[in-house]
Amino acid sequence: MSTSSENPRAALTAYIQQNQASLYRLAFRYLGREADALDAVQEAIVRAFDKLHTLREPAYLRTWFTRILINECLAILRRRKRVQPDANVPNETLFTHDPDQADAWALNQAVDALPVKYRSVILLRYFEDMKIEEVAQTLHWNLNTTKSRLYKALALLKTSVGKEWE
Amino acid sequence: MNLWEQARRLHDRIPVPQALESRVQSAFSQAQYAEAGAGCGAVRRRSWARAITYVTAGVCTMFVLLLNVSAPFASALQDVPVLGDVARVFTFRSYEEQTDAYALKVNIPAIENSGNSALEDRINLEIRQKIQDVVQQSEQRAQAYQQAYLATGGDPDEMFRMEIDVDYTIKCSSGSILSFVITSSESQGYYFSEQFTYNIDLQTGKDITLAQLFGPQYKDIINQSIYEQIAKRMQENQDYHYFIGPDDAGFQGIADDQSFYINDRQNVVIVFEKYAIAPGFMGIQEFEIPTPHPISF
Repeated sequence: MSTSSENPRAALTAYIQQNQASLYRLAFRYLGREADALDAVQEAIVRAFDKLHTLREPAYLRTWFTRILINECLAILRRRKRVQPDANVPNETLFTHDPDQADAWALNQAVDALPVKYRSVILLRYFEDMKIEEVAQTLHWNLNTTKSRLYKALALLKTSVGKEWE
Repeated sequence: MNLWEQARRLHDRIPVPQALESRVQSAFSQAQYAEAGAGCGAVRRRSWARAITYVTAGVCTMFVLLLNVSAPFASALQDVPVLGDVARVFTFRSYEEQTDAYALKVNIPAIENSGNSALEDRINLEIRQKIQDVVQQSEQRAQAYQQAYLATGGDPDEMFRMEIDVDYTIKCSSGSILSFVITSSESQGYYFSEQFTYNIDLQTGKDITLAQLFGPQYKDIINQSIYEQIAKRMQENQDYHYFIGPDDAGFQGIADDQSFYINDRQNVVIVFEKYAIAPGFMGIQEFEIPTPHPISF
């Protein structure tokens, strides 16, 4: 395959094909519904090709695309609020409830209940394994803001979950 | 394993629907549409189903060229060899849509590699417009049903959505003959389907007509065969009943625009929709008509 600087469309296509499952799962953490998550992924892909000229460095492909996907998810959430103002809790059960995993399950629930700003930092840092610099890049925040939002998010989670963890 | 790792494990077990793959492919197609149209200012992507509205013949040509020239695009669309000499029908686009009123699944075919881009433009545009019309009508019926249902106090959770399905079957793809059928169906308690037949002579780029295949007496020849087959079927099956003749408002001979396809034995098959010449339980009625071989136009 040609290198991404020679053919950004091919690079984007390959990235999406290889990562489509994890992209879907990320969208699902925002939206909680299969239909919406599928919509978000599809719209994000089309938008990304549309805006491919805004990708300056092929090395930034992942954070650049993730941002587009997250923006799509947030747009769907905003639309949803207009139609169903009371529904901020996702309809579908996100995870199978295994009693041995009760704490992990509770943690996931708490993450999904965070305000979107804090949820994004946590999802990118702990579920997409991004370094804090990459999180900042994806969300277009400066590094210090990103760090302080991460710490705030962790503090909120500790309060909800009420347990110690690393 | 720390708690984050456990949480991550659960996250990775979020089930990924089968539909994701086709949505991704649809998005790739749509993205190429937009690129092809960018120069002509023709395409503005809003939603996939409505994107078809803005297609012009010029965009189609550009798109077809893009497809044949650029390897990554073609393989992104379908897992088949990218370069081939043989004209074929392939799935141009595949998408699904779910609303409260309907569940829609569409596979749109297109022709490629025929060596005749004017032909491909014409047919492929015709197909897309036909499918768009048909889908739109089905969606409208679905929405009208939903409104009526809710207006009469129906429980939304109990309502059965309409299932709309558009798909195609290749009947013959050999030598210079390309014959395929697009079927559009609606299902909501009842089942209703329509067939759209395409028979193409790849050498001339024109549609194949029954007159070409059977000569000026084509109606007599074909009607006779059909009457014979009807008689035989009624004999073999006591339940069968056909609407024949003026009293029954039924079959009195094939129409000028009679639907037919060419099967892989290179015989013409005349197609009648469900209810057209027989009661609904007998479904779609097809009659294979022995066709002079080799087929020459």
